[in-house]
Amino acid sequence: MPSIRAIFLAFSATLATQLALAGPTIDAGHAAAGKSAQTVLHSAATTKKADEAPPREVSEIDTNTCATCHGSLPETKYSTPAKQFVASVHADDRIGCVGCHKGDPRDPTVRAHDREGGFTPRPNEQGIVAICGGCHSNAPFIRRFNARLRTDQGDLFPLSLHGKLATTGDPNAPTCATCHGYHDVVSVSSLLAPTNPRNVANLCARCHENPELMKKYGLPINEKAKWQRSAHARALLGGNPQSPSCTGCHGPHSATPPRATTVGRVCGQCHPDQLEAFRQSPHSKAYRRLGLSECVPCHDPHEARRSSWDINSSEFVCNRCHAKDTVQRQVAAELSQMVSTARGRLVRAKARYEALKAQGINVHGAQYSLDQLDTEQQKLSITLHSLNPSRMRVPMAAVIDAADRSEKIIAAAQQERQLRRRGYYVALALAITLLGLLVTKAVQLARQRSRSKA
Amino acid sequence: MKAHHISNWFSDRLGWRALSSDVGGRLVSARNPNIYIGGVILFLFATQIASGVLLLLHYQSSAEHAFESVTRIAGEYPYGDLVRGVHFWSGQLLVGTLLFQLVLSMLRGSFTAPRELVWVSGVVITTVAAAFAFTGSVLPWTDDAYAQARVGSQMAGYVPVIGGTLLRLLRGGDEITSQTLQKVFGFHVAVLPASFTLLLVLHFYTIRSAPRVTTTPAADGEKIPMYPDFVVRMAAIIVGVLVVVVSLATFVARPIGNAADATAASPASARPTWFLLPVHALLKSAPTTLLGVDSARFIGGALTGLYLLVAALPFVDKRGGRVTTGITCGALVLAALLTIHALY
Repeated sequence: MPSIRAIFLAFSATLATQLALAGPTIDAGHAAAGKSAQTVLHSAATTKKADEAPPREVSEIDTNTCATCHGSLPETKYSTPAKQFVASVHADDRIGCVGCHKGDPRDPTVRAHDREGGFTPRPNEQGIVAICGGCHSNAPFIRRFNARLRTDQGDLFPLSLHGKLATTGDPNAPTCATCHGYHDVVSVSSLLAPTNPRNVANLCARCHENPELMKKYGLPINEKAKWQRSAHARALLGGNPQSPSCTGCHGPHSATPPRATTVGRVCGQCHPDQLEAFRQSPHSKAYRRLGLSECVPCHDPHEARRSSWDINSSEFVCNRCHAKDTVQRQVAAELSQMVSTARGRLVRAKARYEALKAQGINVHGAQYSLDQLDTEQQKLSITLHSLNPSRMRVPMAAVIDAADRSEKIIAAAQQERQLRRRGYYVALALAITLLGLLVTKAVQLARQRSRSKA
Repeated sequence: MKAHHISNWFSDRLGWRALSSDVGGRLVSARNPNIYIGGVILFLFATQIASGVLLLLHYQSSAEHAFESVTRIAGEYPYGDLVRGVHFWSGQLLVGTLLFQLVLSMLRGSFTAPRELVWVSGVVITTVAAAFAFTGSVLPWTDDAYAQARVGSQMAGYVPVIGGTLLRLLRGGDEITSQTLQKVFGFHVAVLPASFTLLLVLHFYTIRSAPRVTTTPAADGEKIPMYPDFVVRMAAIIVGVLVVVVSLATFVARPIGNAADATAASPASARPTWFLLPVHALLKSAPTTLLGVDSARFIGGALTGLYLLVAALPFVDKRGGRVTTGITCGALVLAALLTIHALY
C-alpha cells in the first residue's frame, strides 16, 4: 500500500525530529539493548523486589507515538483502536499502545512493527489475561494511578467458571477484554462503562440471554429478566448504588454461582439481621438437613423481593411447602395475621397523612413519626425471619405503638380542621346575618330618599 | 363621665364632627361602578397587608429555610393555613378586580380627558398588583415556585431594551439562585407595597382633583350621600367579598408541593400565574422566528408595545370611541382563547 508508506515516511521524519529533541531523556542502555521500555516494566513487575524498585515509567517516551500515526490512518481498522485508546482510562503515556502490543515506538517504520522484537498485533484471549495481569496484579504499579483499585483480579479470575473455561481453550469463554472492552476501556465507576453496576446486567445478558450459547452449558437464560423484576433492580435503578445487580452477588472476577450452603452468606452481606433471625428459626436446621439453601426457598435469588404473607392469596409464601391443616400452617396463620395488621396500620397512617397533605395541610411532626413507624415495621420484617410468633410480640408492640403515635398526630390535625370548619360555619352565619342587615338598611335608605324626593 | 362625653371630648380634639359633615355629606354617583370597585380594591389591599404582616412574622426568606417555614406556617401555627389562604385568594381577587376595572373603563371610555392621570395611575397600579402576584408565587420556594421564577423572569427578559436588566434585577444575577429569592422577597414586602400605597394615593387624588365631567346622564343620574347610604352599601359588598375570600381559603385545597430542587428539570407542565397564561400560550405556540426575529423577542416587543399603547390610551383615543371598545372586546376574546389553549 503505497499511500500508507508515504504517510509513514512523512511521520517518521517528524518523529525523528521529536525524538532528537527528547533524546537525552531516553535511557541509552535500554535503547541499545533493543528492549522497549514496557518490556522493562514487565520484567520489573515479575521481580521479587517490585516494592523496592517500582517499574520504570514509560513516560520517557514523551508521547504515545503509535496513536499519533494510527489515529490519522485512513483505514478504520488501524485508526479506530488508536482513537478509542486516546479516550480510554489507559490513555496515559506511562502505558501507551506498547504497554499491551509491545514493539518499539521510537522507530515507527521498522522496529515498532517487528514481531521478532515482541510486537503483538492481536494477542489471543489467554495472552490478554496475561497482559492485563502484568499491570493489574502489580500493586506498586497500580497504586501510582489509583490507590483504591483492587489488584486481586488476576488471582480471582482463574478461580471463576469463566476463568476455568478460558483455560480449557473454550472460544466462548470471556476474558478481561470481553467485558471491559479492548481499546475503549473506561473506569467501572463511569456510567459509560458496560461494567458499571447500572449497565452490567445488559453486559452479562449478551451471553447469558443467548439460548444457543447457554444450551451448550446447560444454563438458564432468564436471570436478567427475573432480576429486572426484583427489589434489587428497582432499588439500584432508583438510585441506591448499594443494591446489587449481577456482579453484586456473583462478584465480578470470580463469577461463580453461590452454592446452596453459601447463598445465605451472600445475602447476609447486606441483610445480616434477616440472616441472623433466620438462623434462629425452625427452618434453619431443617434446610441444612435437607440440603436447601437458606434464603432461596422463600425468595427467588434473581427475582429477589418480599414474599407474600397474604394467607388468602395463592402466592402465600408458606403454600410453597406446607400443606393445609398442619401445625405449621397454624403458626403461619398467626404470623400472617401479625404481618397484615402491621402493614395495614402503616398503609392507613400513610394514606391519612397523604390525604391531609393533598388538602394543603402539612401536619408538623407527622413525617417523622411515619418514618419511625417505617423503621419499626422493618424491624418486624426482620424478626419475621425467625418464624417465631412469640419473638414477634415485642417488635409488633413497637409497630402498634408507633402507628398509634402517628395516627394521634394526624387525628389531632384532622380534628383541629373539623373544629375550624365548624368555626367557619358560625362565622359564615354571622356574616350572612350582617349582610342581610346591611342590605335591609341600604334598601330602607333608598326608599326614604325616593319618598322624600317625591 | 358618660360615653357621649368621652366621644365628644375626642371629637372636639380630632375634628371628627367637621370631618363627618364634610366627607359624610358629600354626594356620590350611586350608579358609578368604579367607586364600588375602588372600595373593594381598597378592602382587598388592606386584607393583603393584614394577612401579609402575619405571614411575615413567620416566613424566612433564605433558600434553605423558605419552604420549611411555609410548611410550618401551614401546619404548625394556629390558623396559619387560613391566613395563607386568605392572603393568596385576596391577592388573586385583587389582580382580578383591577383587571376587571381596567377593561370596564376601556369599554366605557372613562379614560378620556380630564382623567388621563387617573387612567395612567390605574394601569400602573394593575401592573404592580401583577408583580405582587408573581413575586408572591415564588416565595414558598417549591419546585413549582422555582419554575415560576424561571419562566416569569425569562418573560421579563423578552421586554425590549430593558429586558436584560429586568431579568438580572429579578434573578439577582443571570441565573436563579438563593439571591433570586432574596430579591423577590424584598420586592414583595417592601418595594411593591410602598409603590402600591403611593400609587393608590395618587390615583384617588387625581380622581378628586380632576374637573367634574358628565359622560352619560345615567352615570350622573342618582346621587347619594357618602354617609350613611354609600357606607352601608359598601359595607354590604365588603362583607360579601370577605365571605368569598374566607370560603375560598377554607375549602379550596392548595397543597404546598415539594421543596425546590435546582437540579431537577422543570416539569413540562410548568405554567405561569393565570393572568400570564395568554402570553405563555403565545410563546409556546409561536414558531422559532417571526419576521426574521427570535419569536420570543418579537412577542415580547409586541406585548410591550401593546402595554405602552394601553397606558397611553387617553392620548391616542381622545374621545373613548367605539373603535377602542371593539378592539378591547376582540382582545378579550383572543386572551380567553389563548388561556384555554395554554390550559389544554
